[in-house]
Amino acid sequence: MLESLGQAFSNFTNPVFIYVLLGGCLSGLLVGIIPAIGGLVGCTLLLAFIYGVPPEIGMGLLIAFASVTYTGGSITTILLSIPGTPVNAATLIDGFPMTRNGEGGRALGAALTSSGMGGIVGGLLTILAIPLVTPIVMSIKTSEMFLLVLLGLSFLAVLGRGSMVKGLISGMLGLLFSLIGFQAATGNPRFTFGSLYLMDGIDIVPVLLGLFAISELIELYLKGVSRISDTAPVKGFGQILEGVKDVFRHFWLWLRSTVIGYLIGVIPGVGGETAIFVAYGIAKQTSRNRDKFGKGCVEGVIAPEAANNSKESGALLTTLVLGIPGGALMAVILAGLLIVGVTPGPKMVGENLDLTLTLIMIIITSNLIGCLVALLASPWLVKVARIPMNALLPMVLIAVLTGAYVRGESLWNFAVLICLGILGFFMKKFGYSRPALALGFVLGSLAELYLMHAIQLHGRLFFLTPGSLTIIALIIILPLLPYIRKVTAPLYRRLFSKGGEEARGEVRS
Amino acid sequence: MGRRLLGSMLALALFIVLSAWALPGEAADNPADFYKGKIIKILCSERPGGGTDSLARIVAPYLAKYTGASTVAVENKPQGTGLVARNFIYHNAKKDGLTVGFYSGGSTVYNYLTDFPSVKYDLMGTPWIANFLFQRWYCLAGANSPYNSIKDLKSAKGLKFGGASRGGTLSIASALIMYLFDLDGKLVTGFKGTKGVALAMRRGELDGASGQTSNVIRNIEQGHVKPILTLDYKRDKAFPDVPTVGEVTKLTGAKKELFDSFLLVPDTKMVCVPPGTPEDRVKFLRDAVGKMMKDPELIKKLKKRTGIDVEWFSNEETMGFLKQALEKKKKGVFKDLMDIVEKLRH
Repeated sequence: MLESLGQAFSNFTNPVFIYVLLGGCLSGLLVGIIPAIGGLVGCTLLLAFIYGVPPEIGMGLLIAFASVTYTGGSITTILLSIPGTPVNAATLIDGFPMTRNGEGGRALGAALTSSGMGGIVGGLLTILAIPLVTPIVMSIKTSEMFLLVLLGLSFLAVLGRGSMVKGLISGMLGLLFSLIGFQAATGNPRFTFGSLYLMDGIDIVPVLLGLFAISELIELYLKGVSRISDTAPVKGFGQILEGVKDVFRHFWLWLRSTVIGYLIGVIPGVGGETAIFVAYGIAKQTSRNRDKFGKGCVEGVIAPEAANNSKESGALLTTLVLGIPGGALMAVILAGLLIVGVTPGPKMVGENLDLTLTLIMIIITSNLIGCLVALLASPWLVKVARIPMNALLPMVLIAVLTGAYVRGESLWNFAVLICLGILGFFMKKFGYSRPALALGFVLGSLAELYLMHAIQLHGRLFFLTPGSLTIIALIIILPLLPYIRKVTAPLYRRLFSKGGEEARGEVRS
Repeated sequence: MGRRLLGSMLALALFIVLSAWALPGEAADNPADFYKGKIIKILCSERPGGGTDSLARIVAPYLAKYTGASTVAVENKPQGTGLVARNFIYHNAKKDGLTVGFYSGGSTVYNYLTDFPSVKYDLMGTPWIANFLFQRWYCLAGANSPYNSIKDLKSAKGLKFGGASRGGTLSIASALIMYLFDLDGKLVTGFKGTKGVALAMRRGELDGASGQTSNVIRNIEQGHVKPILTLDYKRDKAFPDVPTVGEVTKLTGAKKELFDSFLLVPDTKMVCVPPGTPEDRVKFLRDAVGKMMKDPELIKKLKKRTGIDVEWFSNEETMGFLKQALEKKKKGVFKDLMDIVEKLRH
């Protein structure tokens, strides 16, 4: 292990390796910021450049790129309400309201620090988890995977800013949309009306761009808002540093979200979206500032951001050791490994341990570089919120339209974009939760597939396993947590004050 | 000022017209001249990172080398389990020979033969330019499962076999194994390809499934599966110790007809151009691909990626097996196969 670690470190003395790492990192950040391209498309394009390249260089480029794309995505999500991927959608719930409240710099500082540190700690956890990954992945059965997705879905009601019923209605609407297309378990087309476009289901990117970006643009236009935020940003790093400090103020929240993201990331097939929404949901349910969530609460930015970068480290480990990609981005990484002549599998922690450690160290370094570069650029980035709407609107519209079109190059994506944009506008106007719709849409088909598999593979009582029962207990307890706290808080206060008096008595005597 | 601007615009328009007229390309008579320096686009019917996609990316630079194209770019159109790409190539792609379809042969042929919804392409009307990487199918069991032979599986009750999409070859081959040996159990579909099935077998959630040679090699390396039967009448070089269907049973009647029909459709990677592409360019591409497949460097790379020797079918052979398969389709054999899949799923 130590020898392999030394070998991995020695790669960092190779100037070509350093250039590639920096290049991958900076381009990943840039591509993440541009919603039209996104990490997946960017990574796929990079595959063409790694033929005949040594594995550590080729994979260095890909992994450095992939590690920071979500960090870049957070910037447009927070400042412009453009979530390039579903993974950025949870950040938007509180990130964009913070920008509109004139706290864009603070939101950026918190998001970048949280995601950068999440990625770094995720990388470190990966080194520790190498011997554990196979037993962990193998012990999670389909029934537990279904219940994990259900845990994510259980936060539908709490994603609404006010009414729980409206949150549930919105989530159910998302679930209904997710039913369009081939049913994964049976292969039967549903609600497709013979259309090839609908057979694969509605693409998530135009849905998110419509629901959040277009609806915000409609609202800003109709309200005649001159700028996203009328509050002038604090000059320099003041507000950004405040955001950085927020992460340390909420250190346990950040750490918990990082570990949640990492653990869910390790399990292939559960989806990164589950990780970020579970992290967000738990953050909201356990927070004392529960009522501020959705209106611009910094904790709502820290939690999903910590989870989104740490889950990638977990997913990479599963891809390397088991050869099973956790998601679309990891599938491209897997293709990259095969192109540079490395076959993932148990040998990655035996014969290829030095390469495995090099790749993990690339994740750590890239997150550090990505986070620092983005933080340094933040004072200029937040000025976007002050650009006059008549100049910003066409630019954002072009980016959103391009982002929607590049997914599958179908003109139908525009129809989805516009329809969801209008729907999102009215949902916001009447107090329905757009994030709940997004969550229902993203996790709906996964929940359905795993439920069918769980029943077919383990029978109707599939949930009677210790792991499943633990998750069920979480599903029941977490939504009730604020109420449990309300009941138990006076009891705690009484106990605490009694203990305090006794302690004071002892000191006096 | 206005007159000067008008003059400049006219000069620019004249320049553009003359340049376009003077440019070689569309008007080139010789296909070799036509392809020189051009960009060829491979439209892959699978997501980035999948088996078909990674093979397309391995082949791309060699296609450039043997056609004279400056670049061969791979683009993915995986929607509708590859149907969108296949329908697009057949109906909408430019017929200039610069757009090439790269498909998984099994699903391309089976989707057509089983009348899968929304198939809008014709196998016989498609100008195929390559058909390679023939892989056999196997019956697999989980690496740690107690099943080591078909006999073990036959004596078990309530088996669970895995498949991917309903009309895909993975589900069809798994269902066929269960049908041929009257295995007691059901087919669970919807797994994410061979990787998803292999993981479920390793976890002990599935008892068996099917898989092609290259996937079996990779999944054995990763400790997920073990092969227990070759779905063929002769043993495969890759797994010489694994018995064949012919060795463990003597098929007769409907079972034999179904199995023989299944073998008629070799699992390969198929490459085509849109119908209507000039004949000379189709021939040029076929010749270029023919030379490409003899390139020792490419053969080595494909072998390294898949673990098998690359087998290559000529256009005549491809059309031959497609014709035979279509004959069987007329007899309703492939409908029977789909009925078996449906029956085992319920």
